[in-house]
Amino acid sequence: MRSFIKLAVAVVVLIGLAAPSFAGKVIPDFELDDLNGESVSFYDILESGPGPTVLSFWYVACEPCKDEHVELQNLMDEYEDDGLVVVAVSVDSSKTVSGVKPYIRGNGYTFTVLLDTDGNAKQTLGVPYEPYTFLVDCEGNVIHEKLGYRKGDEKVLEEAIVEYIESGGVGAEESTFEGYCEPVTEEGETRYSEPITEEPSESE
Amino acid sequence: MTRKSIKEIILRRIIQTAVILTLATAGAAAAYDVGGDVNLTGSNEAYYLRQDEGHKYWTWDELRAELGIGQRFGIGFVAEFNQPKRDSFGDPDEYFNDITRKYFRYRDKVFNAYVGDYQKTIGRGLLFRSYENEELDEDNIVEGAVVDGKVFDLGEITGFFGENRREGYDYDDRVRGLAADFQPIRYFSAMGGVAHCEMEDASGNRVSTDLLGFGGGFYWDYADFYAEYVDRAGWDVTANRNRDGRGYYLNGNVYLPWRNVAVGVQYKDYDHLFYPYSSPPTVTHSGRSINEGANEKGYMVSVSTRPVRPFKAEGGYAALESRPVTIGNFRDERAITEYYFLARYDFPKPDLIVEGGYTYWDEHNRLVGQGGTETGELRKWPTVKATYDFAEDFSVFGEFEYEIKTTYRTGADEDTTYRRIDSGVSYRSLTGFTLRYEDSSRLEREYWGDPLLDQFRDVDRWIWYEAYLNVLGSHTLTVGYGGQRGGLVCSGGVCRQEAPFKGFRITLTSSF
Repeated sequence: MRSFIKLAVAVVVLIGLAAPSFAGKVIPDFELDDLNGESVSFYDILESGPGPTVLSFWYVACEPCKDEHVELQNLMDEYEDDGLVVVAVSVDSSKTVSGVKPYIRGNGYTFTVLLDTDGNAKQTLGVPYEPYTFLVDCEGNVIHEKLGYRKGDEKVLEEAIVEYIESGGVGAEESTFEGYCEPVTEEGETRYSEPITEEPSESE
Repeated sequence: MTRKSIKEIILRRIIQTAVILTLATAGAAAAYDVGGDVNLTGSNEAYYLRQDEGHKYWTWDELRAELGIGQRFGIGFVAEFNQPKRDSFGDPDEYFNDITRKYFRYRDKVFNAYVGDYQKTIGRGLLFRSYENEELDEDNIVEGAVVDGKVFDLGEITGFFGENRREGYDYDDRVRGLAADFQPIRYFSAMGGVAHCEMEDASGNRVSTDLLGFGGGFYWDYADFYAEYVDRAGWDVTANRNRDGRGYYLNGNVYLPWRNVAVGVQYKDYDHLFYPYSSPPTVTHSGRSINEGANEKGYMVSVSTRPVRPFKAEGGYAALESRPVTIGNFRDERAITEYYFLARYDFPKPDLIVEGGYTYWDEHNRLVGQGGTETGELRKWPTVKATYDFAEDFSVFGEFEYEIKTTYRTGADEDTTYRRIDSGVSYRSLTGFTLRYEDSSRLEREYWGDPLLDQFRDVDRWIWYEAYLNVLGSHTLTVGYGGQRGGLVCSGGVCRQEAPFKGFRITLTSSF
C-alpha cells in the first residue's frame, strides 16, 4: 500500500507540476445554487457573453476575501460594459451559509454569487485555500490564477483583464465574439458535447 | 477472512487499478497534448518543519487531485504522507501514509453520482450532513454513494447510503436516505426527505434512528425566508436510550435598498435532535452552542449596513438556552447570550483600512443548583491596515491589531490581551517579506475562599520572519522562521488554522 501511494503521489505531482507547460488549465463545468435558490451552470455563465470571467472562491469569515471583494466590485464597475463577469463562489457550509446573502446585500455587491456548501466545486477545481481567484476566457481556459489576496493583486488581475479585452474581446475594432473565442465548431457542436440548435446571430 | 473484508479488498484493488490506469492515460495524454479531454486538477501542500526544541523535524504532504475524463467522469483522491506522523499537540513518533479519501464521480445534465467518500448536505443539515473541514476539526465523511437526479427542470431527487467508522467505536455506522428538492415556480423552493442510521451505543449494541424532514422557502430581491423541520424517532445519542426528538430552523432576511441595510433573523428549536450525521446551524455570531447544538433553542437578530461606500457597520444579538438534560443524579441547564458590533472604514487615499468592534457573551451552566457561570467580553480595538506604493510595483504594508478579552468564571477571572504587528514589503504579487510580532498576556485570578486571592500571570511573545515567492500564480513557496501563537493565522493573503509553532518551516502550496 505504501509503495503504491508513493508511486501515485510521485506520478501525479510530476504531471501536476508539468501540466501548465503541456496544455492550458481548463475549468470543468459545475452546477451550484445562486442566492435565490436557482441552480446555475458555470458554463452557462461563460456562454452568456464574450467574457472574461473572474471566478473567486471565498467564505464569510475570511478577511482577505472581504478585502478582495471591494476590488472585484471596482473591476466589475469598470469593465462590465466590456464583457467582464465576476462570479464569487462561497464555500460556507450549511452552518454559516445563512450569513452569505446578508453580507453580499449589506455591502451592495452586484456580482454573481454561487453557494458551494458541500465543497465539491472547490474540490474539483483543486482550490487549496481561500481566497483563490481564476480569470477564465469564454471556454473556461484559465488565463490567470492566484492563491490568496494582498493589496496590489487587483492590479495584476486588472492587467490580465485589459490584455484579454484588447486582444480580441468586445471593444477591439476588428474582432467579434466568434472571432476570438469560438465555442461553436465547424460541425455545429460545442466543446460541451451538445450541438447548438439556435439560429446563428446576424453577425455571422 | 470475512465476506466484508474480502469485499473491502476487492473494492480497494478496483480503485487502485482504476487510479493507475487513469494516471497512465492522463500522463500519455498530457505528453501528447491530447487537449481538454483529460483534465487533471488538484492541489498539493508540502511542509518541512523543524522545531527549535530538541531539533525535531517532520515533513508532511497532502495531495488532493481529480482526474476528469471529458466533462462527465472523474476520479479523485486525497493522499497524506507524513514523515514522521504530524501531531500538533504532541511528539511526532510514527510514519503515516494513506489515501484518506477516494471517489469516482459521474456528471451530466441529468445525473450526478459520487461513489466512494462523499460530502453531501440535505437542506441546512438537520436531516443529513456528511462533511469534512480540517480547519474546524469536522469529519464525518461517509463512504458509499450519493446520486442526484434532475426531474425535468423542477428540481432533483437525491439518494444516498454509506458507512463510516467514528473514532472510538468498534463498528461502522450505516446511513441511507432519500430526499427531494424542488423549485416548482420561481422564487419558491420545497424540500423533503427521510434518513435511517444504524450505529453503536455506549455498550457496543447496534441501535438505529429514523428521521423525516421537510422544508421550504421563498427568495426575492428584497426578502427571503427559509424554514426546515425534522422529526427523529429511535436512539438518542445524548440520552443513550431510545428517545424521540425533533427540530426546526427558521431564517428570514430583509434587504432595504436604502443605505444597503440587511436585517436577518434566525430561530432554532432543537429537542434531542442529535445523531452523528446531523449538523444544524448554530445561530450565534461566534459559533458558540450548547450540547453541540442538538438540544437547545434560541434566536439571533443581526443588522448590517453600508450607508456610504467606504463605511460598513454590523451588529447583532443572540440568546440560547438548553433543554435540561439529566445526567445520573444531576440536572444540567445552560444559557448563552451574546451581542456584537463591528465597523470598518476604507480610506482610498492613503490606502488605509480601519476596523474594530466589541463582543460580549454570557454563558451560564447550572448543575443541580451548583453555580457555574462564565461571562466575558471581547474588546477589539481598531485594527489598522495600511499599504503604500513607494515605487512602481513595490509596496510596503503594515497592520496593527489589539484586543482584550475578559472572562469571569465562578472561582476565577481571566484577562487576556493580544497584540499583533505585521509589516513587510512586496513586489507586485510575486514576492515579498513579512515580519510579524505577537504578544499575549494572561492574568488569571483564582479565589480560594474569601478573602484569599491568588494571581497568575503569563506573558508570551512570538516573532516570525517569512518570505514568499509566487510562481505562475498557482505555486507559492514560503519560508519562515521564528514563533507563531497559532490559531487562525492570516499570512500571505490567506487565512488558515495553524498550530502553535517555533522553528523553521518551508511550505510549498500548489494548485494544478
